[in-house]
Amino acid sequence: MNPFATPGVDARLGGGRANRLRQAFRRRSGGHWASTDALRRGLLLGVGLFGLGVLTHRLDVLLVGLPLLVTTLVALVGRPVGAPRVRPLPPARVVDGAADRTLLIELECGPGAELVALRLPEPGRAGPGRVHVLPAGDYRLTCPPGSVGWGEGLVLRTDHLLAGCDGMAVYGPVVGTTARQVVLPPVDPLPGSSLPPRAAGLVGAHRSRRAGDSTDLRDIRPFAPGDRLRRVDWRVSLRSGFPLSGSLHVRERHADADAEVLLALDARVDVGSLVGQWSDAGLPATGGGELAVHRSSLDASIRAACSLATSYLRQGDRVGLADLGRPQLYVKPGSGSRQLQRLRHRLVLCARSAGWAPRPVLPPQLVPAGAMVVVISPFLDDAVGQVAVLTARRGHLVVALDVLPEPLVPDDETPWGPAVLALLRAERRVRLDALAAHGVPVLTWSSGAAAGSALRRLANGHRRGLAGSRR
Amino acid sequence: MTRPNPFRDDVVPLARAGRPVPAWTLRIAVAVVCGALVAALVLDGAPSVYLVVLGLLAAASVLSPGSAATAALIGGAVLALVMVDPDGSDPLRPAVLAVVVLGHLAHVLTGLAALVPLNSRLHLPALRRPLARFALIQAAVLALAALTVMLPGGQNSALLEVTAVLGVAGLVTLAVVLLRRH
Repeated sequence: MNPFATPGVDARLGGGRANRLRQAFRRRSGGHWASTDALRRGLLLGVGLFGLGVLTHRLDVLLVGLPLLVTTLVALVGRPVGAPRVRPLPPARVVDGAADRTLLIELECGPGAELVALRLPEPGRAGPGRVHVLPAGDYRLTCPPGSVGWGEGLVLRTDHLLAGCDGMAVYGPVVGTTARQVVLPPVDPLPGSSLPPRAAGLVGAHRSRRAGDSTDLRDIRPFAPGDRLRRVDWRVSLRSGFPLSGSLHVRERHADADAEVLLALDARVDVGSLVGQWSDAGLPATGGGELAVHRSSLDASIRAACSLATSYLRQGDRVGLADLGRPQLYVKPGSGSRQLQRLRHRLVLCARSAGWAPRPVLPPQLVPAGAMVVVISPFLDDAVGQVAVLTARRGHLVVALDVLPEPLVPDDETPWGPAVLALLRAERRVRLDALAAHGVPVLTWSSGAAAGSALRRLANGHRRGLAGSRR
Repeated sequence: MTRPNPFRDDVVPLARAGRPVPAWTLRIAVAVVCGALVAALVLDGAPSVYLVVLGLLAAASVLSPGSAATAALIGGAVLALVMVDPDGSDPLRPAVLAVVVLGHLAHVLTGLAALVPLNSRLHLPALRRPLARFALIQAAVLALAALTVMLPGGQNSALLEVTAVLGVAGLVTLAVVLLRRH
């Protein structure tokens, strides 16, 4: 089958002209079998030495030329014909990071081809990878993907070159078909985290401030009109002297409530642990449409957001997402597994469009009443801290999640590297202390387990605070 | 005839497509073969000026296997053989046999090395067919050389000479026809 056949063009141009154009295009793109210098060398030396040996009666000259002549004739007789086909079988457009991502390439090299030099992804590295020289044939080759990270990017580009007998004829090099894939961020739920009580409904997994029907005791108070009889605490009522002098007492319980969580992602900057590379353009490559292969602040942000979303959604809570640099990427809070998939796709989109924005914004209308806001950022400027404090002043519980990679390595190309790093640390310390002073607790993201225990401590502290305020 | 599939299975994982080695090992093989070729000529007593030139050509073949250096090296080696033995009295001495084998091997290896990028990975089964063909051709050529030892020496008849010349012309014609057909 001719891969360049275009019936419409053939009809318009006529068969001969279309064929000429097609052949010209093939020659320009390397898509044809061509002789190499090895063939010319074999022909020149083989025929020349063999003929010279015969004419001059020199057996030694003839013997040196004979194998070259024979191998060249073998190459000419078995010269490959036809158009080989090397193409990737299209991988799934969207895959889970944990899923099997083996790539499949179909090779139909045709008769006469002996070697195929094929570009394949290199495990652990993003990009099209390096060239592998394999035996030619008609088979399917499977290989692992290059990057084990998440994001959207190129997973395979089958650049190839085929060679005939002893490399005396080549087909290509041909720039191959590309295959792109979206790898969703990994789902790594936090171990048993819990949220501070936020009342957003009368069902859910969290204790609300309101009175309700859960099992947790909230208060014991005198009976009031409207109280149900089954809530009367007879023991306390009898101790108080009922029915002679005292009054009936009822047990009041907390309500169970859903929690609404808004993950506020700061994707304006993406920095690694090497401070000297922070000013380099396009570095690190977590964003910009490439698969993430290393730990940077944006990589940690996306992983943290995904872990938090997974954990809260598994508890039945409602989780939303806001990109502080691009508010148009907002995802309304929702629940269920479909919401998790929606959030993971949107996180990939946030990473792809990550980059500089004039200033972070979190409009009040994007934050549902009573929602907990988790601001995920490396906190390298004051603007994101102001957003967190402003949101806290509006009555929301705000948690700051610091995702700056640690330990930071100073720039070793300048003597000012350690001083710059010390200044940077001091600025951040002041910034994070100011956040804590404004009632925004700061957690550091190092792993899911550490963040889970920190959130649990935060929740317990918040409960104790609520209990103290009631007393 | 080329087998359609060099592997047993239709679906071949890359890890099972043979042991990969860095492609620069092919350049090392070219260097070893070219070095051995020059060394054989040294042992044969070729002029030292010639050997310097051949050494430079060998280095050029390693650095740029797609260039004409390999052709010049093999041609120069033949010239050195002729200079050592001008009347051709000992056509099957060890140096000649070494040049027969190593010249062919240098031709095959530089042909492959010219196609493969230095930083690529070479899976060893890819070399199976070229090396098998090399061994087969060399076996045939060396058998022919052994056969010539048993033939009587002396002047050939004029008819045989003319037939040989016509045979060479026929080979050239065959090569040209095959080239034009493809």
